[in-house]
Amino acid sequence: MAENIHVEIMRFDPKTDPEPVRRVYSVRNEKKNTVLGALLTIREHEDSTLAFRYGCRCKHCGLCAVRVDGLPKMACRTYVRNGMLIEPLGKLPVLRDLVTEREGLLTIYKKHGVFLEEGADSDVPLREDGMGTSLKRCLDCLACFSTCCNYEHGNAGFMGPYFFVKTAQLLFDPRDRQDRRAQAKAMGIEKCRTCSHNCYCINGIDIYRHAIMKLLGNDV
Amino acid sequence: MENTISTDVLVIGGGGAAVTAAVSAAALGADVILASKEPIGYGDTRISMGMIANPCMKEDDSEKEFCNDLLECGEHLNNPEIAWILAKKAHRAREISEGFGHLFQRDKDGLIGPGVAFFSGGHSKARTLRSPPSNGIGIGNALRAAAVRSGVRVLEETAAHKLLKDGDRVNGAVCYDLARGGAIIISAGAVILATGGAGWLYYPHTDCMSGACGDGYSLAYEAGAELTDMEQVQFVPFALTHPAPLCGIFFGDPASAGPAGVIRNAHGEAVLHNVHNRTRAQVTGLMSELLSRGEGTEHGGLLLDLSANLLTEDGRRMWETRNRLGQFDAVRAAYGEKAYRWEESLDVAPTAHYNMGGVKVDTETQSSVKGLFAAGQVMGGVFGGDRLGSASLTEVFVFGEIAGQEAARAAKGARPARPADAKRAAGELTGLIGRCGKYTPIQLKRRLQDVMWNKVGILRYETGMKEALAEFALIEAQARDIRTCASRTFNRDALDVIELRHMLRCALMITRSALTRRETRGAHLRPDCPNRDDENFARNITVRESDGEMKISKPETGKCHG
Ligand SMILES: Cc1cc2nc3c(=O)[nH]c(=O)nc-3n(C[C@H](O)[C@H](O)[C@H](O)COP(=O)(O)OP(=O)(O)OC[C@H]3O[C@@H](n4cnc5c(N)ncnc54)[C@H](O)[C@@H]3O)c2cc1C
Repeated sequence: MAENIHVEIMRFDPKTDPEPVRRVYSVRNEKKNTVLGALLTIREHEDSTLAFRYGCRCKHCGLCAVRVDGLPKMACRTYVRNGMLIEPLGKLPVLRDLVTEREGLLTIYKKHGVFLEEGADSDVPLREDGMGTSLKRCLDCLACFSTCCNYEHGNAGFMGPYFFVKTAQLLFDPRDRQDRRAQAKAMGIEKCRTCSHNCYCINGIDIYRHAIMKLLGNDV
Repeated sequence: MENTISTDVLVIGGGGAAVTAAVSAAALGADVILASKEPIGYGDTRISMGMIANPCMKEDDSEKEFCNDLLECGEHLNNPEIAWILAKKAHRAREISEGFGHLFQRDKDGLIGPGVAFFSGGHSKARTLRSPPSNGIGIGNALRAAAVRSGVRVLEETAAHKLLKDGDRVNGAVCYDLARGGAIIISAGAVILATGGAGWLYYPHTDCMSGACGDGYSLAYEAGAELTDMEQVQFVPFALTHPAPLCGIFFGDPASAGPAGVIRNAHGEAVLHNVHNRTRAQVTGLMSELLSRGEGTEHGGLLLDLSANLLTEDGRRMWETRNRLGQFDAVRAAYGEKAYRWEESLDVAPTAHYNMGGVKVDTETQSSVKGLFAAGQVMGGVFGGDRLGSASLTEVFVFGEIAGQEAARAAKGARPARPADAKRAAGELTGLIGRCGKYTPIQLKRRLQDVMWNKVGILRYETGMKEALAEFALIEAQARDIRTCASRTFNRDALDVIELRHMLRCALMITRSALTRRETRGAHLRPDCPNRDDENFARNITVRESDGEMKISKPETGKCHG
């Protein structure tokens, strides 16, 4: 077990580098070592300048999502293997290395009213729909953006799957009184009618069926 | 390079206490800035189990009972007035968090009735609400939404480095903008600290978020505020020991051992029975003793054998409930299916979870320094020597609201920060980029964490703690000779330097307080002073800075009653 394995990590500082470069790092081949474990070891022992986000180390916070061999994964729950390529999530601007832009998310929440209105009554009998419960698995890891064929960062006409999940959470909130379908329309959800439904959630939400179709109404 | 803004109330933090404080201050008409090292709605609040103490759901419960439980658990180091406020206002926690958009589990009639009240560790009554399936994430998402809805100005991934003062009053802070590099000077009429705890002092033996570096304790200390009970650090018994990346991840309290759960040593001998009836401190203390006697496994843990629970109906039902809450998901990832199904023992060791101590405040969450407030885990006094399960989230909302309201009132008429102080602190931050010294800050952090776990961890001896003090001095000296990344963008090295400084100060406060408390009380275990000594130590140990020195409130005698 003791011999080392190699992983490739995409390094990039848009301020100074002409383009991203792959760098090879060697990490100890330990049983059940994770991508996050490897990233942390590299920072501690080899190159502390490597930039990545993480928080809880255990799939609760959603901060460590990256692309591994082309697919979005939670770094804390993906076992590291020889020859892996670790990249930042796609479709989001890269700040540096594996860190993508998060700024602007809350502005979109605000612009489109993606929150429960003030004064909603929580003291009446409330029953949660099973669908709503499944949507609550969203970890805000933003990986779904990178799997959506229509999403382009900064395009104000199409907010992307993450915001459709957030809006659908409210659609299923028994206290909510807003017209969430109209809101989704304003966020560009009509575009989802004609796409190939590739949007994918790391944490197992069926984004197309449980969020997008519900927001589009029955006439899909 | 630096950017200056001003506001009525500056809230530092981004978890439950911070967002509640910000929203509550804004509701009174204050202009508010919310600055958080992580994105808003994160912190330990987001990764919690989302369980919240909500007393008086059943007829046999009362505010008084809840308060008694708090004081009993805290071994009477709590400030009883503050504990009483928590008990009186506990109902606000559910009201506020659900008002933000969260939903706790309802009964079959869709109501919060006695049927959903659950027994949580240390409580005499069933009074805890749960939030499946999203647990803390549901609360975290509600916090994000509430911050947006309230219109407060939000600065994400922005870490407070230093508080600013004018005379004896705190009136702002200098923060580091992680995404873009550079300093932000914020002048404010009042500042609320809601920075959470310091579990990361014990990494990897912690289940807290990586941002829990005790920044708030250090910021308050540096501003001259008094802190209380810093030696009281809560460890919880059942965390994973391996694989390395999952070390320290928490999955259970003593209660989760079930009636038939036993702890075995590496040879398979049962060394601790009746686990589920003991407190967190009792179980972690006994486990640490066994581990220090060399009875542990190759992974540094003991074996938690839950299999006998499966022989009873109750035990099987318990497995199902815990499983539904996702409590054993991490076990499955680390140890596989058999362990997950309790058919195989789990390798477990204690992990750092919560700091009972913190900024000493009055009943309005005002610290000993004017203009500075504290709420949430960073606030001290409410839990004393130990904390009841699920009472932290209650505290976060209750005192977050009070802090927001009081700070909004206090913010009026403050003067702007002194430009020279602000410039100096901002210069310290911009100077963190591209340093060419010998040590990387992350290496120094790891050294500090190692010292804390081994010498100021669960079992504390005078000799070990004195050695720790010497090590801190060495790390502090080496921290002047650092090497950091040259990029201004998302420079983790720079943030590590900021955090290391806070952590060192925090480690010193914990260790000095722990040396002073020459007895065993609450979560503070001194095998060299194994008894509780009410005569000398039924009081709080407080620390503050005075003339550049750490002043500790000394008990009259320093003898051990062993
Ligand atoms: C795994 C786990 C499970 C738990 N489960 C429960 C439970 O079920 N029930 C319960 O009652 N309690 C639980 N707790 C405890 C509880 O979650 C926390 O005590 C509580 O959430 C603390 O809230 P807070 O707002 O004070 O701090 P946090 O939620 O930790 O937020 C602190 C915030 O401050 C920010 N911050 C830190 N330093 C700085 C700085 N220098 N500048 C700017 N921002 C800064 C951080 O980024 C973070 O956003 C649990 C804890 C853990 C670790």
